[in-house]
Amino acid sequence: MTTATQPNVEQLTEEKVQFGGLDGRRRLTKEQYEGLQQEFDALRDEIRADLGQADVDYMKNIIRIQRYLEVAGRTLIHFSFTPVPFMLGVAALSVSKIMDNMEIGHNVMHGQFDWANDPKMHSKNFEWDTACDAGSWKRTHNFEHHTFTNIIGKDRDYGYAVLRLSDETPWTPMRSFQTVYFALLSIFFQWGVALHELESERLRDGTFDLDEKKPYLKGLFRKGAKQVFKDYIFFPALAGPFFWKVMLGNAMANLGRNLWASAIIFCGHFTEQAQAFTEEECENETKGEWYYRQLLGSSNLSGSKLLHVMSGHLSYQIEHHLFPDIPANRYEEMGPKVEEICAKYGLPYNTGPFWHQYGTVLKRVWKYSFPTGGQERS
Amino acid sequence: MHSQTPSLLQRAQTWINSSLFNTNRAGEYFEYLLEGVDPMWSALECKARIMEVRDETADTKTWVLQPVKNWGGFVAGQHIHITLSVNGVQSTRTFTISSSPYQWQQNGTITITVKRVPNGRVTGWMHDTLKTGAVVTISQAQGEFVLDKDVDAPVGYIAAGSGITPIMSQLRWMSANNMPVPANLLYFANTQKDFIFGSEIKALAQAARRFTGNLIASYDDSDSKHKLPQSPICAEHIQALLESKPEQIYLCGPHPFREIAKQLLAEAGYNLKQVREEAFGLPPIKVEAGAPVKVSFAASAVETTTDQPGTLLDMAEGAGLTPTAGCRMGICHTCKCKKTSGQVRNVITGELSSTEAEDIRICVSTPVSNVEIDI
Ligand code: FES
Repeated sequence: MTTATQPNVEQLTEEKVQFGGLDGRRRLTKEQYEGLQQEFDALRDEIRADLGQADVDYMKNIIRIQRYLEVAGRTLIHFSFTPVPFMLGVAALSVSKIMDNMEIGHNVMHGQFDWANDPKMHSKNFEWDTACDAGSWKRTHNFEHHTFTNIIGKDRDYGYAVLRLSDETPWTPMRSFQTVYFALLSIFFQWGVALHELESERLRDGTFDLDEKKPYLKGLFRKGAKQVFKDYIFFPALAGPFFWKVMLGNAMANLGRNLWASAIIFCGHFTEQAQAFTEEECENETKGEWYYRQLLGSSNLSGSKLLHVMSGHLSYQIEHHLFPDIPANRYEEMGPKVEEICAKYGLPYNTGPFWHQYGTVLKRVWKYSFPTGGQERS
Repeated sequence: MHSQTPSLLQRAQTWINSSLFNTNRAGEYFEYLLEGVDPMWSALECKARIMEVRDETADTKTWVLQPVKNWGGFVAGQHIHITLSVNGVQSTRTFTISSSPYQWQQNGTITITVKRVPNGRVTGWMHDTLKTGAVVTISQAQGEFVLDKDVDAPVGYIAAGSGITPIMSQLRWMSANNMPVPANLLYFANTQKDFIFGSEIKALAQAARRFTGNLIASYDDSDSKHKLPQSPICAEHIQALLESKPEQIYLCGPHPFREIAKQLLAEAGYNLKQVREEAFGLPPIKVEAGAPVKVSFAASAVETTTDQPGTLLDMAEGAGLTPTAGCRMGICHTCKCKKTSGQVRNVITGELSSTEAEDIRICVSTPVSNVEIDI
């Protein structure tokens, strides 16, 4: 075992790295990649060995709060006759959906709590309150996105097949309107995620035909129908004459969740500094190089405890990508250690406040709607 | 078993539950909420509170449990599964109830008596951490190691170590019932100090004319290396027991001990059909000579090859995976997974599976060919 030596490189300056592009990225030596792997592996093992009752209690608590909020939200929407309690109900229901999707569903389905052997928080059984069914999400997100993070052409989360975010993707006239697609994707995010596995872009170019997608489509309709039934039929119908009020409240809660979830998720990989990779450069990748790609392709959000919980700790996107199956509530304590390792190897640790990071996402979507894209540094 | 196809009504109910709560059982949605209000509340399970912990021997303790009111009770000799959270890991183990059903009727408590297993993750944790006031989840009582109602002929008991617990429950019940039938006990332990309930058994033997209790130690107390002449179980012990003409013999102890006892009984001409055994844990897995088998855990993209396969659950855990499991002995079906190809053997029944894709319980399955499992 060799411990990594301090890399002897000049400090990177912003100018030296052409962010978002593929050139000028600082690569490590073979030994440095090995050192990087050892340090990250050691950090993961240290935390994994320390998992215990406190982590399970944390998740149970979060689930409890989520349930209380959902019950309170639906009750308020039902029995409110003035705007203020109605809006409070919408907010509570929306927050409960956000917690269910982000801090609970996302993390549990990554298998972060499988070690606890509690069927109620095991990735095998968990289903969440969104249109995308758990199985489909585990295939597209857990497997595809987390394995091929930011590899253009392989990671379909990169731009969701509708956005051009780097020069690697060729510009077409349709790209001029991508700010509009971006807005639509944000508004209908849960359906965008649910449709993700359809791979409509590949369907269109004839890579495969619809028949192969039959099992997926079945799952999509089954889960989609349940979501529609719950929010737009069952609970509104319970309210009898106030059907439309409850339906509106539920739609607003879903909208709130969609906007928030999409914003957080776009901040994870599409910020100005997050880098993309080509298939060729990732061939025969070692574990060290995989860590490196996860690190450079992700970006964090700095902020309060509330932001971390509400984002499902995706504010620690870097830590999440390095250690996807470590319980997210541990990322906060891992962050400084990851940052330290980055500094040691002269690698960027991309973080910033939410509005700043989201601003760079918007800028990037806008910039690449033009053919010049990354070449034109504004 | 619940293998009939569900009725239309049941299916509709499941569909609505899964729409509203994202789980087929509505109770599951409320489970952590109830637990948060009162740890004894549950929509799905039976809870029990620890009322007292007592030392029995140096490495054995008794826990007094008070189950929720609607727990179904038990017959002397039965066992329960207990689920507890050991450092956050939900673990299920099976223990015999050592108290008499009278105690349950009188004050609503039952006891379990547990020996610390060297290096045992769960029993060790129980001994160190499971204190008065804690709440655990218990199953309904089950098991056939019970007295037949209509038999009034003598019974014989053969126990070793903590195998005394289900027998103690029966003895306590019979003593409270004025010893309805003559009973003879052979109880083996390493030293005098290791007899669980030793003094209670001796007192009972003195008080009850129809009960004979023999406590047989293998080693001298003062020097654990000094073997006593009468140890361990041998033909004379069996002979003495059979003189009382027991209609039924109850046998409980470690697997090798039970094998020896049964062999001696058979040699003495006793019909083994009249022997009732209580066995926890799995019998040792017979390794078959032959080529190494390859096990692929497909969903996790992990593969292991071995010529000494254990249970698939152990193999998966050995490979760093964490499939859900409960009883680890084939009872609770928590560990059920889809086997997509290959053949496995049930380590309890010895039965071979089909080679088709099917659901198997990985805690009691060992591979006999290359298998692929959806974990
Ligand atoms: S763990 Fe209970 S059946 Fe396998």
